[in-house]
Amino acid sequence: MIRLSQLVGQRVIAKGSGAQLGSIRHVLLDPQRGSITFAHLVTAEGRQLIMAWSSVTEVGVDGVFVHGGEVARPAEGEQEKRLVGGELELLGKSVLTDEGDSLGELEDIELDELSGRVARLHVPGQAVTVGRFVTLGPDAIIIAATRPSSTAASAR
Amino acid sequence: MRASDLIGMPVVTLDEARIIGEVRDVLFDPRESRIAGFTLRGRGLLSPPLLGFLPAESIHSAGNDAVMVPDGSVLVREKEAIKQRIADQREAPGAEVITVDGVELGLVGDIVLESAGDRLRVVGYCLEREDGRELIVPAPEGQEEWSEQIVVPSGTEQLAVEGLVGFSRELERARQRRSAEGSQRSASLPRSEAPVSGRGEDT
Repeated sequence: MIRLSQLVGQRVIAKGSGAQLGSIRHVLLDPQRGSITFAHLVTAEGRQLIMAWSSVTEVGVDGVFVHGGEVARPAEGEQEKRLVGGELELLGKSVLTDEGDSLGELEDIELDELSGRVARLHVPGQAVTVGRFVTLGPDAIIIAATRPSSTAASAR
Repeated sequence: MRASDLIGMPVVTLDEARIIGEVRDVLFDPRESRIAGFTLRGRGLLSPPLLGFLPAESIHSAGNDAVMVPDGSVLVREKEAIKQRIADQREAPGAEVITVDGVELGLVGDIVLESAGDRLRVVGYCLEREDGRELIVPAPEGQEEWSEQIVVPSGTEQLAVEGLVGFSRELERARQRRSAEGSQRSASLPRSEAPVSGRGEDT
């Protein structure tokens, strides 16, 4: 388990060659999967690249290790450009339930470093286990409200 | 919650997590004593004063901090359509509350709403009093007639409570009482007959 704040700024290193691909600037959260799926890297020369999180083999103190140098590529498509542009930045974004209650601004995310699966969201005063993400957008991260009963999954 | 608490609340789409505006006015449907919808305004100083009308039936949920809607298409934006939707609605504040036997309770300052799933029900009226206190009386369930006055059952004045917290407590109590009465009655009655005597109403 690792926190997003620990990942941002980490160097991404190709295992074997030891080449540095860049450092992590943003990550892309896929709300349907509840996982981090891509990372936005900035190279030493300032180039913006995208890397699938599935290429990560190890997260250590020295950096995030990936299979080879070919895993990073320029941003393609609308969503990846929004990621690079910072529009999908997670930290600091308002966390709302789908019932319209605010949990405050996102302070950090706990995730499984290899699968990218999000375990908990840190908001002011608490860490929330997310049953289901609804949407990630420019103005908020919307999560399913947790209800006392476990029958909520059948709703809608 | 009070209807006035909704004013200024952001309206957020569930499909894109985007704020499409904020609540400007809460419109009341006098015939059914329910919320008909909201008018929305833009956010920020230079934004448009009227973005459109949000019908109550398109609201997914109204929480403490935001009104959630499925997507931006639920907002009625055409001027004529907005006018039509707004025309026969009114704002409850200012209407007089009177009991069926003619006791004037005061003017409505605000409405108390309850968010039941995706519906916003009117459960009470906040009355403006000359002495500055805020009294809340329960709204009758399923209001029938409503013109310039809101007509409530006789004896409603005895149910007036000061403040929202006390009102919610009373509301809850009244519901429990009602459901307890209901179950008691059905439990104690023989299956075929239902005697209705002993209520002290005999003449």
